[in-house]
Amino acid sequence: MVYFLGNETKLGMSRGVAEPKLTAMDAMIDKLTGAIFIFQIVVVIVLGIAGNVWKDTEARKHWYVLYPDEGPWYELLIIPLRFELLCSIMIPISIKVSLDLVKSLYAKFIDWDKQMVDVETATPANATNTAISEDLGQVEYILTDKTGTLTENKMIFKRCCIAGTFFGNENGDAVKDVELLKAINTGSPDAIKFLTVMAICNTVIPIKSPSGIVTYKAQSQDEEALVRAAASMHMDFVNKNANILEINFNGSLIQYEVLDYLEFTSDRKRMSVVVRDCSSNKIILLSKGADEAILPCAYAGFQTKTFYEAVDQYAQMGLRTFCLAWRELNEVEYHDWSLLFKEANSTLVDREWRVAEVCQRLEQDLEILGVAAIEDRLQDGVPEAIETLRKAGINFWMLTGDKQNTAIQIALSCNFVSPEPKGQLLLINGKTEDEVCRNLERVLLTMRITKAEPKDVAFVIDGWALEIALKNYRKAFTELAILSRTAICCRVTPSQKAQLVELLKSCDYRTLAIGDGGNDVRMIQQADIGVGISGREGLQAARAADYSIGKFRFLTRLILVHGRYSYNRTAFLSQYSFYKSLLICFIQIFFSFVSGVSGTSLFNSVSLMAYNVFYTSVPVLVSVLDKDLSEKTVMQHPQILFYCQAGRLLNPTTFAGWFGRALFHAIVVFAITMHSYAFEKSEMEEVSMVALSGCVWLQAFVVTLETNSFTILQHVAIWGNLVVFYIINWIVSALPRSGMYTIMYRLCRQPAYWNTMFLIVAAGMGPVLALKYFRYTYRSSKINILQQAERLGGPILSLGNIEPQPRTLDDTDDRSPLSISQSKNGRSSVFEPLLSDSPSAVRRSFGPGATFDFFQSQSKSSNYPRNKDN
Amino acid sequence: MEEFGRRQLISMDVDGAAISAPVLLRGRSKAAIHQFTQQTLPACKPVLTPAWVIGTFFLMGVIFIPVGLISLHASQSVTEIVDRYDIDCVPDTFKNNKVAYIKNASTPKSCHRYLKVDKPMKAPIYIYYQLDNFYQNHRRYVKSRSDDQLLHGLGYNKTSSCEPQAFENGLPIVPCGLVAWSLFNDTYSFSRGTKKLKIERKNIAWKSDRDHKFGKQVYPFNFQNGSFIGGGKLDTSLPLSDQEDLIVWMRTAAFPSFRKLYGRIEEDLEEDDIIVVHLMNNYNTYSFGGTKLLVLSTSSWLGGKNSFLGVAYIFVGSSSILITLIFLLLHVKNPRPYGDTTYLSGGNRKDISS
Repeated sequence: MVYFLGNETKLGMSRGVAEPKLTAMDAMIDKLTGAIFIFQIVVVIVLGIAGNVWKDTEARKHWYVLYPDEGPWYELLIIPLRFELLCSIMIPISIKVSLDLVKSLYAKFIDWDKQMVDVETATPANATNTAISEDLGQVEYILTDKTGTLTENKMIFKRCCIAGTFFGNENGDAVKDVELLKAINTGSPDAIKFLTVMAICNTVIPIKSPSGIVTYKAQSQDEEALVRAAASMHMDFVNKNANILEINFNGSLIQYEVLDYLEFTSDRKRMSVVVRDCSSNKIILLSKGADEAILPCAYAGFQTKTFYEAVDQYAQMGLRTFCLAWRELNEVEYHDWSLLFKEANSTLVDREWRVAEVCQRLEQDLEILGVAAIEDRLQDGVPEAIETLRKAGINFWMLTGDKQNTAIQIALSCNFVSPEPKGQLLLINGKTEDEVCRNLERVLLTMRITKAEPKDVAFVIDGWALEIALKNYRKAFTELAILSRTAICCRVTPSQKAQLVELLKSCDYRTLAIGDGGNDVRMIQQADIGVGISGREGLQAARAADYSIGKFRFLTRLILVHGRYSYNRTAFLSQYSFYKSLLICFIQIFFSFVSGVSGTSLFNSVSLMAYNVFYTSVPVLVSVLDKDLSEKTVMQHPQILFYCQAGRLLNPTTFAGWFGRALFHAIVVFAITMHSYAFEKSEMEEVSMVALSGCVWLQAFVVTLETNSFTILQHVAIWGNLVVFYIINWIVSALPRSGMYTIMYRLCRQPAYWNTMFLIVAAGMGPVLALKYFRYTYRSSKINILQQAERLGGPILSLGNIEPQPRTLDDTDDRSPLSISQSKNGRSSVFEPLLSDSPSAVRRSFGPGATFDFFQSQSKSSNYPRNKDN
Repeated sequence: MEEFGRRQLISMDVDGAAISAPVLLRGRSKAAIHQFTQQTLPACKPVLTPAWVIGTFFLMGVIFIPVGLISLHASQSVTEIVDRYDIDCVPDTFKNNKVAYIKNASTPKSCHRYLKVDKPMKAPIYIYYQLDNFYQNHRRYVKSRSDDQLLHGLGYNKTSSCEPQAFENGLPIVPCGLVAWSLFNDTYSFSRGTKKLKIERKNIAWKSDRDHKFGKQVYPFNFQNGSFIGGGKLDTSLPLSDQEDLIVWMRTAAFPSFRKLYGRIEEDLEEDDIIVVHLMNNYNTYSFGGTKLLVLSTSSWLGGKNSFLGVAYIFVGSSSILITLIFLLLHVKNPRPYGDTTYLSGGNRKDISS
């Protein structure tokens, strides 16, 4: 009988609805498109009015145009509408197609990347969502799950404390601890009870293969780990037959009959089993669960102090702890209780709560047997990955269901926070509103003070306090969230995880959520980018996510390599698309000034179509192969991601640069064409082809100048495109029916044509090259510096090894990091070719004094390779 | 990785079974595909080093200035005589009402101009008429033609694009449209001393137009028969392909100031020759304030007299040299170490020093 299935399961219900995701870049492109649209409308209105005025004052005198004296009123609209038609190319339709094409290629590059293949399971990375690669390069916050994401989720029973005796402390593995084995072999009752609970207090199902090997099917990795450990200590859970559990202990078969399961819920944080020992007919309650759920239930007078110590000690080591307990029940007590339990189970209203209450009655006066500690190792390369990403200016939040100490330990061991004294952890605890409020204020105060210092401050909050904080002190908590680069949230529920993502998103941060289990699905869907680890907890997270990777450490490559390249490439591609459309449109507008503002198109429709579809879109498509810096350099200098995060390569200012370039090039093309093809050469078709060739030549050089790395494909696309341009036009010129019959042959025979082309290229590109060189050399951005370094070092192995020239140490003052960070806006407002900083490109700030400081964060990351050498 | 490699190997085997011959080539393409998918295609990364940039600008200057000089020289070698006649050819009595003069069919339109040859001109000497402030590129005008009708004549009747000059008195016009209707109709003849100068009026239009754009069997029909006569009339006995003035006129100009070929003088003109031009001043440019000019010009390899290209080349070339000097000066005065990563690690250094 299935009660709930599919979307009605707990997992399904907590999943939430996934919303379509839009990258920050697409949003920016939409904004720019809107701006261009407004510009277009203005142009159309102005030219429309000018056209009508010219028509009424001038055109009627030009008898050969034969304007009728009186026209219907709507004639006023004809000229504006013609200009609307002419200017409609201002917004490049091809940008959507090109972007979709390159985006799917970005996604393919992720799929293909062999460096992101998990060797153990042979799972390649996979980009489910092909549209949001650019966002990867703009991530500011990473919210990560702990179990299975940072850790391997390979639970191994490592230590235990039975009746006050610690096992496994010496050799780190309790299963091999001689003392424990001796205790078991001598039949120490405590040890045997402990093992029994380990073996049968669970919902594990043993499956016997024909060859006699028993494998276990478990819902939770922890239970499986405990059963396995028990088995290796001769308490072998061999068979489950209906309600009969069979245990093979040192060769003798013991049978238990299961009477009731008191299930695990995240509220109760413990589970119990009621069994009857078939040989002695005793009824026993076996419990296991979190320390705070088990230890308070000990019978009065039981000394739980050592267990608390054990739990603390294990948590300090980053181990997951379970307390195991046991109680013998007498027949009558059980009978009474079981009636209650059945009744509770069959209620329709508030069943969960009723059941929990009834369970509570039985789970009392427990005899605490001990504490089992399970290790969940960190995945390979997690600390390094986190360090690199933190250097890249990405803030990490860890959201886990684990207890506080365990979470903190894991956080320390994977570079989440630096150990004391550099790092500082601020705890926010409390069960009541007052407590939480006071804690929150205290932490906020500390944060504000320590902000100026290069200190690593993180706050730690638990689920209960978080609930209160989110409900009552949302504003204060939001401020805290912005101030703090690192946070650890423990004991949080899936929906709280999603709420935290929502909170950060509401502050306009780009968030990336990474997780592996069903409980992370909601957070993954909520975040701007969801990354799933296709791990042991199934594929739920990986399926819901936009990207799935095999191991956490691949996240570095996903963000720094794929995300960054995608951002850079799209930034160029989108702005270039606007540039080329504006270029041709400006020429049309200029032409309208010499054609009586009548809306004549200089170019024929075939040329216009081919210009957008072939001549200008093919060369730029290969910019998907462009790499401004090598992958190695980016990995070594993750700080460079800042340019993407802050949106330095695509913002209104950089766009204004491209707009200006389009205007300048249009003036160059039009003025040169008009003057060199004046008088007897001013034949319409010829002039049109000269102007078009000028545009095509210019755009080839623009792409060349903006390309950072040329592979053979780039050369083919850029120069091949130019050749194809001539071939296409020669073919069209060979058709007697076409308007441009013989035109291209005529032009190609004229020295004046080639002279004009070279002049257009030189006049158009000269200033652009000069400006770019000037910025590149004298107002270098960090990307430029790294490019230069890369160039110097040949195949850049380690930038840190390049000896700093002694001179540079002297003028520290004028090159102090401050001068390029804080005063960046003042000193050098320019970074990229015709691109520059802008107020809008600067990190968003929240409240006074909360501006992001890239260099402060950089100085936080202590072991920069160069300094190691010094 | 092993798993992955194995998978690849299998697929390679399958391929190998299918095509076995060009193993080497296939291996190379396989490697290329691998490089593509891993984004590791060999690439050259040009960096804007001072040497390169300064060198480029210098080279540009070095090439552009001589080319400019040569172009300028070519333009200078062209001799041209330009004579604006539209005002002087109006009789004094009509000076204040030129439009009335030109519209009145009974006023005498003939006119004489005397052109002095300053420099000897070698044949062929091209005769152009130049119109200023005449918008042959006006949208309403430029669209008003039917290329199909020009080629097929009356047989083609979808001439709606020719409006408002498609039909007259209910009959189709051939050639239709405003462009043909406004055909330029000033005529010129030349004499030197007492001897008439022979003007070659054939082959002034493009051969491709005569052969493929204007029908050999298409004769003018119902042309300039309306109440409102535009420009010149056509000889109805000649097919359109032989009406070269029309063909030249119908190659519309892109700018409001343009020259069109009228004919060629096939004799050399000597210095101080006086050329007498007998012209019929028929065409109305007075109502819109246009001008009419007569141009006699020789030509060079670069075309007619147009110093723009030469001047622009010299300008761009010298600007390049200027930029070269500026960058050179900047480079010498303020050398920047390339790839100085102190910027990047600066954050740490500041920590240490402070």
